[in-house]
Amino acid sequence: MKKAQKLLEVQDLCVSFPTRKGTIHPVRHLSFEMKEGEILGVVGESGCGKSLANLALMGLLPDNADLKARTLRFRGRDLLSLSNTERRKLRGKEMAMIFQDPMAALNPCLTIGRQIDEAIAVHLGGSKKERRERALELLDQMGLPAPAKRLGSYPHELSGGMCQRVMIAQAIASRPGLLIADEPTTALDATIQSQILDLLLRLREERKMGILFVSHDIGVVANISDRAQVMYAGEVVESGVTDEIIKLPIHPYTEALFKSLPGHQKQRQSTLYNLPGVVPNLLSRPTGCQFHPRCPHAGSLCEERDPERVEVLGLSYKCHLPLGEWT
Amino acid sequence: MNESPKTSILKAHDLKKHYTLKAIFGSEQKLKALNGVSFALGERQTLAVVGESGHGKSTLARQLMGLETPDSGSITLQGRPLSSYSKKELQSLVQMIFQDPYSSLNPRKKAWEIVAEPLRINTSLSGKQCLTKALEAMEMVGLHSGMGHRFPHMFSGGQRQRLGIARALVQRPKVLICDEPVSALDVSIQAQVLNLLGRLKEEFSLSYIFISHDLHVVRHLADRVAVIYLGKIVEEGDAEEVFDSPLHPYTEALIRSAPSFYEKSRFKPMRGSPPSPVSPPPGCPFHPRCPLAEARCSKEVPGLELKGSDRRIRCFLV
Repeated sequence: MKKAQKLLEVQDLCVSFPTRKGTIHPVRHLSFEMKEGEILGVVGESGCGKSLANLALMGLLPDNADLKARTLRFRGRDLLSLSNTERRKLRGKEMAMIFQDPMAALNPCLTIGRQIDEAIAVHLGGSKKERRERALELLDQMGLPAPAKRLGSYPHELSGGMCQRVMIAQAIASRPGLLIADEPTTALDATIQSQILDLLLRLREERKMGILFVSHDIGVVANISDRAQVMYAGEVVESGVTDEIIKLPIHPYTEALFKSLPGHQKQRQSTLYNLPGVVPNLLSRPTGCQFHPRCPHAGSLCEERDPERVEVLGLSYKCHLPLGEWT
Repeated sequence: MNESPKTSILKAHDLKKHYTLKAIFGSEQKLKALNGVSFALGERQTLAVVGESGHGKSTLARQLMGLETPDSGSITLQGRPLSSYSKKELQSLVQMIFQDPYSSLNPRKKAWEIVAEPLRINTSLSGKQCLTKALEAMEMVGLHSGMGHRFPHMFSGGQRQRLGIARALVQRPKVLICDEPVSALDVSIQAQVLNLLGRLKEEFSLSYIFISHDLHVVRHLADRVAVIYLGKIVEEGDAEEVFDSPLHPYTEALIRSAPSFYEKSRFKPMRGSPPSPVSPPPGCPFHPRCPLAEARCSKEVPGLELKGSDRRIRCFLV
């Protein structure tokens, strides 16, 4: 099993932006690995750098962003040394991305058929007839009713769930090895959300596609991902096997996120855990541990020193006072 | 027919609201947004209205706020028909909290002015009195009165939602209609707002109509649940009971499709997408997606039957 190739290797990924008031570092020292066919969940509040990290992986950062990384490798290839042209060939073909709002991500002026065809034509080519067949097949796989009719529809004629399927169809048209899903179900109804999640799980089974699944809904991540990482203020504060994190969170932030979720326990509770404060302002980050101003357990050490990353038994966390038994 | 809890503050009977859709060319179509909805909201009670989008939840909210008049049926507030209230009276009794804390606050106004807006419109209080009351309302929801002179963009998402709640509470209403109040918020902020809503309910003896599609949130705070499908209530009952033993297949499917935190196996998607309210399927509107549907379901329309003491279900097969 050791042979399973690494799909993605990220070490010390940092993204910074110069602003008028000083340089900000929305993503700091992000390191993780993904295997082929693995689903990695990423959770955290908004403003924790989740989306920016995704854009960095895709190579879609705005021009003024400064990207640094020790390693950024996709299927053994060094992404940092690729030219823009080479990167563009990779993007969409081997690594694809789906977005939160399907209505905004599709072009309202073009038919569904045109938009899927574009993805196929660019990456796979083929005659018009072959491409159309491929598009039909894709829509059918997505579980879209009457795909032949849908090819001629415009995005506004479809519901949010259908648009999301079209976007997924577009993304997986070239059979990418990595799908980056940035909050793909947040804008959808619970029933449609579960259909989309089911679809993603099926695609993973059938195509051994790795999925980087970003969401702020821990319930969703708990259900879909093999491993998960929790991000806070641009850093991963805890990562490990999803089931274990949920059973026994180590970082106080993870625990706080779980406890503030309604329905995190079977019995109904009168009040939810109140996580005080907000995500730190990137221009004036706190000293020491980034979470200490909001942490219920924080001591003087947390205020002074940034905790080292600790790796035990496949878990890793960044905390001076980890919860649970091992210390 | 209706089991009214102790004293009901807001009652709806057989509400219908149909909209006419006009294409530029082509014929008119009727969209039956509400198709005979009845319920009773008890004092200090939270009634959650759940269902997928496009099934009439927000239409219901608009009728209850008096923003639109239903085509037929009646709404009574504290025993008097809603139509007999003047606009000012009604607005001092029923208020609303909106989903998006960014678009529901006027960016050109200061926080206290936003909160005081209902007072300015509905009462003859002086500017100074308005300011005092607005700052009081802000304190109630946990915002510093010193923040009163800030503009909305200087507040975080959670604080803005608090501002929206303060604005709704400034006239001390009896009923709050919350239309997806936490679905745009992060979990940590969501928890703060939910706790706040719980506290305010006790403090000011409020009753809530809570519209949401997040079943975990609903389970957390609702006393009663009404599940709505294509403009009709398909199941209504005590929240704990409905969640523990859903009877209608739609309710069951809804609950099962919500990803759960502690049980991985429970998550099962429902097939099909919701039908269009313009051309609902014949018979039971849920039958094309129902795993239990029989021949009869596609022909006859089931009625809302009383099961047990206060549970109502619209299904032949229960």
